[in-house]
Amino acid sequence: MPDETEAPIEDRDLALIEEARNAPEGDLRAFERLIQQYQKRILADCRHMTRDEGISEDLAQEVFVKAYFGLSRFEGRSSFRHWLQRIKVHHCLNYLKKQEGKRGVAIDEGAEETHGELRVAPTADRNLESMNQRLRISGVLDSMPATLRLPLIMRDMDELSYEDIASALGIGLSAAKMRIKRAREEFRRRYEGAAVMVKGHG
Amino acid sequence: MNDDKSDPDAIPPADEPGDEGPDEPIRELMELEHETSPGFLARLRGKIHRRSAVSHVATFSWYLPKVILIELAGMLGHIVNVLGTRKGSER
Repeated sequence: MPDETEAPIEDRDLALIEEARNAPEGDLRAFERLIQQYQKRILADCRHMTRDEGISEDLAQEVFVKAYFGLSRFEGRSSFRHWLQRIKVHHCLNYLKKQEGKRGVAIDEGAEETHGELRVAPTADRNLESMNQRLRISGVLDSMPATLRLPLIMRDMDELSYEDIASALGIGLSAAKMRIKRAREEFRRRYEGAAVMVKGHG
Repeated sequence: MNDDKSDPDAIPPADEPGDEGPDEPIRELMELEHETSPGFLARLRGKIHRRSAVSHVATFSWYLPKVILIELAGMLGHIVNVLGTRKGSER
C-alpha cells in the first residue's frame, strides 16, 4: 500500500525538473536529487545492453548529461523515467553500432554459450543471495545474443512499448513481439538451468 | 545450446484475437539495479560543468570576432568621415 504522505513519483519528478530548470547555472543539486532515483537502474540497463562492465558507468553518465542539457525540451508528455530510458536506449544502441563498426562484428552475432560458467556459490546470507541472483541474471543476459537480449531489456527493464522497440531496432512490430517472446523463453530456460547448477554445487 | 538458427525476424502467423503477444515479463529484470561507484555523481557533475564551460567558450568564440569586426568597421567609418571633413575644409 503506497504511503499517502508521499507524492506520486511523477509529481516528485516534475517538481524536481522545475527546480533544476530554475536553478542558477552550476547549481546541480535538484538535478542530482532527480537522477539519484534512477542512476542504479540506468546503470544496470547500460551494463546489460552493452555487456561491458568497464564502459557502463561512462555511458550512464553520458545519458544523464544528455538529460541535463535536454531538460528544457522535456515537455512532460511522457513520464521523466520513460523519457530518460529512451535517451538511454538510443545512446547505448549508438554505442553498440560504433563498436560494431570498429570490430567488424555485427551486434546481432550470438554470444558464446557461457552457461557452463554460471557457477554461483550457494549461501544462506541474504545479501550474498541477492548478489548471487544479480550475478546469475547478468550471466544469463550476457550469454544471450543481442537480437534477443536488447528487445528483452527494452521491454522488461525499460518498459518501452512494442512500437518504440520496433522503431529503435529498425524492425517490424511483429518481429519485435516475436523476439521478445523468444527472448523471455530463452531467458527462463537459461535462468532455470543456472539455478540447477547452483543447487548441484551445494 | 545457443543454437538460435531460426530467423528471429520471421513473421509469425497472423495474430489471433486477444493475442497480446509475448507471455509474462521477466520479474527479475523489472527490479534489476546495479550499484554505482562512490564517485559516480562527482564525475557526472564534472562532465556537466565541463560541457557548460565548452559551450560558453564556443558561443563567445563566435560572438567575439563579430564584435571586433563591427568595432573595426565603426573605426574605419570614423576615420573616413574625419578625412572627408578635413579635405572639405581645406578647399
